[in-house]
Amino acid sequence: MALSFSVIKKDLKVYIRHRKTLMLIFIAPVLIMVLIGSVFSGASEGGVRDVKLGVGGGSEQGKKIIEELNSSRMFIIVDENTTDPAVLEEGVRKGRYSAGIFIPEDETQPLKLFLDNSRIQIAPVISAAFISTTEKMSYELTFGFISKLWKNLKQMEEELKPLKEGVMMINSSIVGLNSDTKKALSSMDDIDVESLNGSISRMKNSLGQMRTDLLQSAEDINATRQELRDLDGNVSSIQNDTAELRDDLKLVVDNIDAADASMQDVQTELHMTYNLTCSIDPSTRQCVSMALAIRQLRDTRALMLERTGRIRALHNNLVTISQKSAELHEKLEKTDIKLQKMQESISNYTSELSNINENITSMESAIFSLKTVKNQSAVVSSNMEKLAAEMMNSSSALTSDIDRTGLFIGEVIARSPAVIAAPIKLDRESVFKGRSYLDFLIPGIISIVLMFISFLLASITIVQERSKKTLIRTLLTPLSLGMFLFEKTAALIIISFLQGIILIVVAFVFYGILIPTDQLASLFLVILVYAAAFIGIGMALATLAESENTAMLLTLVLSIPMLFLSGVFFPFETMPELMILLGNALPITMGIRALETVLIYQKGFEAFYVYLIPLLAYGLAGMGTAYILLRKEIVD
Amino acid sequence: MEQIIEVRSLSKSYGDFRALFDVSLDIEKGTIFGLLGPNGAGKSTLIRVLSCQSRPTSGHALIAGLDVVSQKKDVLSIIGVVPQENSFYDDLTVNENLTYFGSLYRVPDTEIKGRSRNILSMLRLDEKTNSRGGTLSGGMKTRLNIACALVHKPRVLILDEPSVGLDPVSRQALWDTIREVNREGTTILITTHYMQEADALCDRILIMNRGKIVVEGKPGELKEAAGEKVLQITSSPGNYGKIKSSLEPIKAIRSCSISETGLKITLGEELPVHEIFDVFESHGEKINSVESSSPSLEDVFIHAAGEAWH
Repeated sequence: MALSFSVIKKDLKVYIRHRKTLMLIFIAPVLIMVLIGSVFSGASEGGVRDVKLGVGGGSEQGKKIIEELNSSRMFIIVDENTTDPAVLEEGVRKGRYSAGIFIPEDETQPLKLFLDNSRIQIAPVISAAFISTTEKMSYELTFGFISKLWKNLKQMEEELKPLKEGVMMINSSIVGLNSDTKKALSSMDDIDVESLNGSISRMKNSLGQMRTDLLQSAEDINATRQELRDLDGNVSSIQNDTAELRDDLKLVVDNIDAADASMQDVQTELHMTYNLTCSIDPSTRQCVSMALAIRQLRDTRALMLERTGRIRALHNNLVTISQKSAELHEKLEKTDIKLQKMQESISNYTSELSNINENITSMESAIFSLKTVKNQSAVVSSNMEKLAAEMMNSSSALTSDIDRTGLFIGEVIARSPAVIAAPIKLDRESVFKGRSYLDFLIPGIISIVLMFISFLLASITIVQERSKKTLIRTLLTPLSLGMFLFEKTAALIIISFLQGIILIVVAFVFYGILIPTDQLASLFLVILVYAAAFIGIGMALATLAESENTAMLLTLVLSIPMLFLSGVFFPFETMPELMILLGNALPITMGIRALETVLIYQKGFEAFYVYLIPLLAYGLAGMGTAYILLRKEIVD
Repeated sequence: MEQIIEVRSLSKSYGDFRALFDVSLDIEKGTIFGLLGPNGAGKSTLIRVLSCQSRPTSGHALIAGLDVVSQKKDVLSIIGVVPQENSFYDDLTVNENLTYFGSLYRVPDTEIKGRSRNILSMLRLDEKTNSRGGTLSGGMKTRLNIACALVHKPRVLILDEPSVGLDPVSRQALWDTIREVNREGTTILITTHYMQEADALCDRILIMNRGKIVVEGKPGELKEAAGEKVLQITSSPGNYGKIKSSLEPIKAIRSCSISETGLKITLGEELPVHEIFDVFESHGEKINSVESSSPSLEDVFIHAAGEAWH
């Protein structure tokens, strides 16, 4: 039967008339698009923001990490000022913040991140942010360390050349030493140890004799000193006696001198008196007596002086003796001191001789050792030879090692520290440049909106036709059930098509998303087939539902799991294998893939027809089921 | 007269249940034919077969010489079916509904306009042409429901319990409409369980019970055959079952059935009133009231089926 378009025209008219349906058809997609677009445009503009992060503990390195995290808009830091990680865990558990980071003071200990895994959407993002930050910090630290290490290695490399030269010099020195050793050993052969021993023995005897002589001299000096001390005692005694006598004589002389002085005074006075009284008549008797007395006095004095002259000479001799005795005493003392010094010298000499004797004993030992050395010199020479050979080999190996080490260091430091700090570096480059996050969501959004609307409209329209008995009435006309379903589908496809256009226009007007014009035909084809698939399934559901509510419930029961398994909200990579199989088999997933192929990858028909075939199969299966069930219901 | 519907030995079974059993009937062109029967009598099954919604298990049915099974599409294009419930689109106007259903019958748009005008005028809906179906009154909706089945000018109009739920005024208007349609030359097949409706409308009626035809004929002839008088007796304490058993052997009594209001006795030409009263007395019953009337179609059913109308 040819297409009558009656049902299509009627349905479109009914959709336009019915305000709620009209709203569902045209306003809902706009609202959903605006809503989803606005929600996800946040992610497009910088991802997760203002996540509360509890912080506890602390170290210098930890502070840097927190500064790094704080510099992004992702986190709001809540400083708990605690040294107990349990406080942070409790904070997360009680919902004070979405994550807690405990930084142990000991930097060798790992940081502890407490994640609120109930917030399944942002928990992986927080985790990734921390991993990224810690990796960055680790990279910077490692890079710094390796850079320093490289510098040192370079320095080492530079020092290897002098080291090699040093080794070669040592080698050459050892060769020289070997040669010298040989010479020295051959010189040792010239030493006559026996002769040396004889000389030493003679020297030892001579020294022994000398010591005996010295000891004897010391005894003699000691005896001499005793004698000198005795002599000095005698001298001192004479000196004392002489001094006494001298002093006595001095007293006597002084008395005589005093008596003379007194007589001189008397003489002077008598003389003066005589001059005064006897100048006129010297002859008077008094004068004569006086003259006589003066004369006597003068004579007495002269006699007394004459008589005291010997005393005076004696006194003087005694003074001289006393002086000489003192001088002798002094000389004796000096002699004694000299003798004492001689004694000390002799003692020192004997002591020195003892030392010399000991040295000679040592020399004897040395000569003995020398003798032993001389005896061992052949072995030493052989060993030295071996040592020199070994050293030669070793130094050769060492220089080879140094060369190798130099090469190795050269090879190592030729690599950038950045390569070592991050051996596998990921240079991320987005291949879809100039596209926003929303661009990639558009296939998902279009698919979801079309799924819901197609599903709901298809199921509701069939349920309404059934419940209002218009379906059966329509089928009491020459119009066949198959044609009725076909025209219904066509009307719904037109609606879905319009919705697709609305979504694209909204995406462009509100979010500036451009659909490539060369892909428009492919896009509309995908929308057509995708909508047909869900309309077919919706019709099948509608035949099972008894009322509009049941139909809506059924579409929700099917739609919501499909949403979760479509890969839009939860990636397939996180799903169990069975769910991936199920998800891949769903029409929504195929629709999203087909739209992605058109809108994102911008491939041709040959790339997306693989999704259209199963979608068509879904649609036909849905319509077939609806046809069979409705036919069974209506015609018996 | 030309037979427009011919049904021969038609049976329909659903598993072990026999909904129709060897039904044969003829409906003359241009008549109003009433299909009566209590619930479960097989009326709807017969209508479903005639409107191509159900395939008969055996036998066949022809409408205007077309087989309802093998020539389904042709049959559907010459019949109009008015379902019991109003089934049109509330969001479309009266005119749009007619246009839609007309288009389903492949009636050209230009013809639909003219026919719609005539139908709406006939059904007194011409002032509501642009009103949405959902905004019409109950009676108008019923008329629109019929109008939608007339837009393609069917040769046979099948109405399934059209007066169910209508108030007496609307029902009367419906009858007028049906008569009007019939006057236009359309054969009417109407199912109803309202005896009064069938009595008032139908040229001929067919009463069914338990999938079988009980009786068929003109309403007046059927009532006449059922009896001369009907007595409705109420008594106390009202042990009608025992009384009925005692009354049935009396020759003059055509049928006896227990109704909600008492015992209903259909009588022939004789009136054995004393015998009847004696029976009541012998059972210790005290007669409260006795009403006498002419037999109705219900009495025809009771007479023919041997049981009360359920």
